[in-house]
Amino acid sequence: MERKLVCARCGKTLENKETYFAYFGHQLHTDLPCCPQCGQVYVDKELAEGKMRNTEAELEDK
Amino acid sequence: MGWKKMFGRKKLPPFPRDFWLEEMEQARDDAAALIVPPEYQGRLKYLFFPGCQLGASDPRYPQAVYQLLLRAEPATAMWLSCCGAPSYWVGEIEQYRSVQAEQHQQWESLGRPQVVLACMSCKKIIDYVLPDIQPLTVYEVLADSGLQLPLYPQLPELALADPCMSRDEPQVRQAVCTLLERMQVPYQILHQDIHTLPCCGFGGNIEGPNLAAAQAAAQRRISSEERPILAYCVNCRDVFAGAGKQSLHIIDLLTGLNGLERPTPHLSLRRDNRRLAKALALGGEKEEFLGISLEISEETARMMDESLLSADHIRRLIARAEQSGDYFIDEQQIHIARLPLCGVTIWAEYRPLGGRQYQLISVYFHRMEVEKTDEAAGK
Ligand SMILES: [Zn+2]
Repeated sequence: MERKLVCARCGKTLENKETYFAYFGHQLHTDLPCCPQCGQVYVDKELAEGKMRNTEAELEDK
Repeated sequence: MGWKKMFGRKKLPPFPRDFWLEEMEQARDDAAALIVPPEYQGRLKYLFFPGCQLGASDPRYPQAVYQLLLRAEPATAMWLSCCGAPSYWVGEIEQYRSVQAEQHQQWESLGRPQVVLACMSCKKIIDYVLPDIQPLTVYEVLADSGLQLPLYPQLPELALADPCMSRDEPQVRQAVCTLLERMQVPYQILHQDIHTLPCCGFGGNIEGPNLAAAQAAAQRRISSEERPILAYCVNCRDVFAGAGKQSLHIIDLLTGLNGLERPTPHLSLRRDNRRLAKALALGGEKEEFLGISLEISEETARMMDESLLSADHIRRLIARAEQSGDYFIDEQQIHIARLPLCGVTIWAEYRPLGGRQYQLISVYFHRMEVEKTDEAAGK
């Protein structure tokens, strides 16, 4: 998954940083690539369609 | 409500309700057109109203049917728009009333011509809300005309599938049968009792549309049917085709546009189809939404169909990213950007091809929101 990404706005290479996600009041946190300057977070397809979708589905089934 | 059941699956349509309202708005906005032959201004006999689905299915349909009608009656106008049915389906009654009021006004201002429809859903709605319009269908008008039609005695026997919206409308089925007989098409009616016509699966799923469920319903209806299907509702035709069935719309026979093998059109590209239908009707070039032209592979278009994403959503995503500079770039110059949309975050990877042209590489989405960054708060 080590794909080198650059933030187009700041010209900085993304760095992994602990990031929090929320859904229906529940949180998920994981290390994600962020722009060290503007803070934009990159969510890749694997995370969106894997861990995040599973968490979403779990919470929706409750 | 059934929210959790609707969304708690792996393949999640992110926003069905908004999707259908957007489709309607688009049909009434950038894909809308009124074509009136100048010599018949003020003394029109017919106003052909194809509805929002005909050109979305095959962009050539509205213009081809209009040409037929013009041969039957030159004092005919065509109005590309939408009857408002989607707002009715999702329960936006006020919006629906205002669409209907505008429609009525337009009809009055054109001198109250005979309205001619191609879609039985349009007919149900107009009959119900605007009874003074008393619309006919294109099938009735053509069946009554002396127009010479192509002949198809060599076709295999077709199974005529009436749409559920034809319940209690025997005169429309009669007109379709008259046309089929005049074209020497071998056929049998699939479901005789006009009062209990089953649904193809499209209408019943429109509030929480699920293509897979619609196609499963279609498969149940036709699984034992070996003959190709002939429909006179374009949604039925497309659902049956999507269920893997050879299927025709009677317009294909009237105009010769398509054979039995036309696949179901992509839901994600329907807005593009409508814009193309408008361009064909006006004799101009298709205008791209936001000026962005987009290459989309079959596979990506299929994924977008299932997720109820339109190519126009991706155009919005790209326009926003390229204008603001908020995107990421990888080593291969692929751009990656996101768009918040009705509680969902859509991501797209795309390659700039120069000018306003882009190749879409992949699309995905999530509902969880990033909580702790500067930009998440602001946008
Ligand atoms: Zn940045």
